Amino acid sequence: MKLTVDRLSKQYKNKIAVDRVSFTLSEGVTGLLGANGAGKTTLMRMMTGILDPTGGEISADGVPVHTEQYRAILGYLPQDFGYYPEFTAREFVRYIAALKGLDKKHAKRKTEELLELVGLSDVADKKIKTFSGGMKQRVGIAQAIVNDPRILILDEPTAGLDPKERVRFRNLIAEIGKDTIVLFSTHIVSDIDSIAKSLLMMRDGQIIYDGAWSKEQGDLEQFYMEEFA
Amino acid sequence: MKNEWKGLLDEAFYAPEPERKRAFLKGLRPREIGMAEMLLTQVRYIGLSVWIVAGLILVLAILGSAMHADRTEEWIPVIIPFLAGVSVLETRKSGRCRMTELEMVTRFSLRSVLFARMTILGILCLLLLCVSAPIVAAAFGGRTVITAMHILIPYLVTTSISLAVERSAWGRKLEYASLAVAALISVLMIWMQSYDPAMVQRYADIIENWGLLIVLFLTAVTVWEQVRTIHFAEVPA
Repeated sequence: MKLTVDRLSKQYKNKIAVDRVSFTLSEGVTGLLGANGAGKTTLMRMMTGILDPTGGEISADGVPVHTEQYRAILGYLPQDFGYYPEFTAREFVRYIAALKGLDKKHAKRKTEELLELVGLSDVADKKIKTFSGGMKQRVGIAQAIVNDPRILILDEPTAGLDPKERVRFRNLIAEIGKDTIVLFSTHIVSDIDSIAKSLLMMRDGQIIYDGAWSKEQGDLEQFYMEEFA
Repeated sequence: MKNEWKGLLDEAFYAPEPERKRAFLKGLRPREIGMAEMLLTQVRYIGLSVWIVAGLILVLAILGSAMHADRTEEWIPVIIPFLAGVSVLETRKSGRCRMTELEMVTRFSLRSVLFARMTILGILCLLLLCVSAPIVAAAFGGRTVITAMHILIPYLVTTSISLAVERSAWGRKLEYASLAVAALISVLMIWMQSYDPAMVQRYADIIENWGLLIVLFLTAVTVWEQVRTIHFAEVPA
């Protein structure tokens, strides 16, 4: 599968948040690096159909972003997400599974499987409002992959996770990335340098680097610091 | 087939190792539910306040009619705006709980979720009307259709005004604007019933003569407001 972003722009009055960005993603993890305010979240929100671009197009194997067909294969974890206060972790994942069109039996099985995977099985019936930041993030990850997405968009997914959880999460994403297009935004290089097959770096709404990073090119962290400091 | 032949065949035509098995299995999408099934799943996510107000109205209709309590007919139209108010609150639940983004990117988008919730709430109101109007009408010697219109008009007025208010800049700032509208309509009903008997009579005459047209008009306005609210829910920033 190919996810194509073609000359994508987003302008707010006199500020250009994303400026004629073009790239193609295929299966594997792609890291999206950039400082705060670089346009990463705006780009990702357009790629999920939440925001309408000012110009340009997004499609997956020719299927445009604003179609049910596209949303059916999409998984998304926003930077900051809410939940209905009365929901337990299990209810939350099952609710999203229902909205993603999974039938009851499949949704139930998948929810249990994912809560086990993210280590929340023993607190599945506890209300999310009682969870720590890291636990909430793990619920978010579970809902994002409940429909076995072909495209997974993760906006700062490691925020709020402790170092141990970060490693577990990285491994999980690396596994999912084997047969899924994963776009993983972060401003922490160590989150993605070991799992990303390619990198996109953004600054002032533009892509300043697109491609794989090899050791011969030097230390990624150092390059990143030089570019974004 | 002889066992030795089987062995020889296995050797000659061995099955290759599966390639991209996971990707293939992933490509087989499970059975997906339709709109009707999704609508049913949404029933359990309707807020408790809606069921409480609806239950209260039903209890009032049944008990008031059974006990021939004088003001039952008057109290139901006074309370029903609150059912409309809490129902409209349901349309803002996603935004209030910051679920909008997650619900916008699912196969059934936020618009479908809102449509499903509004349909469920509409059916609930209709069921409530079908049960309470004949009971009250029978108990107080009125006509079911007229009683139903007396209940329905304040509900439709509150729903349509609340939906319009909720979308306005003012309404977006006020989380419980629809309840304020409900309280206003309710107070108006009480005021009319308590202080202006002549107006009550005029109102009753208008419903008697023009009730059906008024209900049809208000239903059309309410549906129009619902459509606008559904559209508004996903208007990107």
